[in-house]
Amino acid sequence: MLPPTTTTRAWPAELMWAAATIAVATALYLVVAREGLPVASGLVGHGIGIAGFLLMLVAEVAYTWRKRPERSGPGPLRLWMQGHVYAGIVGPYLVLLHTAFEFRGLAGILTLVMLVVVASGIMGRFVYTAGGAPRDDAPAARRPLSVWYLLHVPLSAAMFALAVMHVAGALYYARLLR
Amino acid sequence: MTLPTNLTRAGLATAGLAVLGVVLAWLGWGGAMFSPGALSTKVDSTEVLGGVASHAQLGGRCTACHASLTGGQAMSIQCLDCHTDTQADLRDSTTLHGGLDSALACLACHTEHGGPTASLVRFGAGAGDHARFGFALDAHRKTAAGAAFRCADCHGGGSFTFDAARCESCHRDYQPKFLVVHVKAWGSDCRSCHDGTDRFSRGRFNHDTTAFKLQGAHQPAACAECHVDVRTFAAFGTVSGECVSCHRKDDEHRGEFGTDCSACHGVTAWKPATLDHKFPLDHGEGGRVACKVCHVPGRPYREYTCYGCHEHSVQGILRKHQEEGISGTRLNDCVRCHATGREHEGGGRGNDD
Repeated sequence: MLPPTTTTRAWPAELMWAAATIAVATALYLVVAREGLPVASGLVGHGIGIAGFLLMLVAEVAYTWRKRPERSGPGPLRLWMQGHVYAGIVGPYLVLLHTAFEFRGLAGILTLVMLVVVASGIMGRFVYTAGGAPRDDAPAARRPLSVWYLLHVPLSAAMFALAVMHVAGALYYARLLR
Repeated sequence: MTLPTNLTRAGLATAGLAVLGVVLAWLGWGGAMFSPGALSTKVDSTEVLGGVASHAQLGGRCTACHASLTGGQAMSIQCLDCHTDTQADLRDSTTLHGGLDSALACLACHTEHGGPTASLVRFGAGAGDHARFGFALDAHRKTAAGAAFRCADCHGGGSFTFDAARCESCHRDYQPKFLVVHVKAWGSDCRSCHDGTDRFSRGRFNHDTTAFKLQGAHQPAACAECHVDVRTFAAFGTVSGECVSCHRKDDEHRGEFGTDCSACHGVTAWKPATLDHKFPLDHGEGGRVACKVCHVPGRPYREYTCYGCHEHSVQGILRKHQEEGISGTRLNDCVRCHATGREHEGGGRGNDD
């Protein structure tokens, strides 16, 4: 049995930070939304969509790069995981605001996949590995391999593939708008 | 349950499946999956344009409006390809579209994909929109009764042409006296001066920002007293700042004192004036003499006479000056020698020639 790596507290730090960021983003969004929900294709809509997408991309690429057993740094793996969780919650939230709560076509499917990816990530991090984030010295057997993980990683790959096509479609159809 | 041990491979496989799914959907339904919303079912024209009665009838034919990958036409051109009625409008400057800045794209005012019944016009969301037609709505936010303006208040029902008589018919209702005077002074073509920005209202327009500051008696003057027969906004600026450009008709001096009125007169009133009269006006013993004593009424002011007063009789003067050897025309130009009119002033100078 491994000792717990985090001190007991109501919410882990990364969730607190994510909640705080979401609160700020929501407040700003509500200010803008007083004149009607910002449409996905507007300046604000596109802005939060792009910001959210970049956060998710960073969350994915950075943690995937660092978690490989052959890499030992920089910084403890636990910190990278915390960053992954933070960006993996805030990013999708911004993307959700980007949708202006309209779900149709490819973008609608993409949103659904994104929500499943986030849900599976939260399940895995805070339910399945409730004992704590992975440590650099965790034995191979400790590395999570389960249904949630099978959902989380491959669906993330599918999500990014769909997101790229969504962006490509938007660029294509909007490129001659003006 | 056996779980895959190579997640990279599983990820690549899932991503590949997602791409395959999108490609298959593309082949099956075209670009519809990229549509941000349904097209309008509104039938706006009595005629069928581009083979359809509404945008919704275009179905999934995205390229009807969005240029294809190979054909690089701007969307506005694509719009006009079908909307031949608007093409005709653009050639006629009296129509709604013809009055627009030609650089404007359709999408500046129009939108789509908002759903079957959504408006295709997003014009009016911004206060400056109407200014694109040369008339801002700054001063037309609320009617005289306090209600919000409706398009039809100025444009009539269903039509977006504009009848200039509309301005008068509304404004006559709530400012009847003003309107009569105003139209008499400036004419009936309101838009030749007014652009809707309310720039002439009391407190908004400050004449002192122009080259001619309104001072003294000019302040209460009516605009039309100086800006005569003005019919366009630009014509307001054609009035010269010179006094005579307005005051020639009330020049009591009939132009004899030149055009520099301010040499003697101030801006508050014509009188008192500070006339630099070389010859003393308190000449003689009766105090200040009236102009007509020396200047015969109706004759130019540069003419004067010294005869007609006390000892200035023709015979007396002749005799006195003959003794001094002064005669001819010089005898009538008294001030040449008697510049201040005092006794013995001219003594001796007459012998110079």
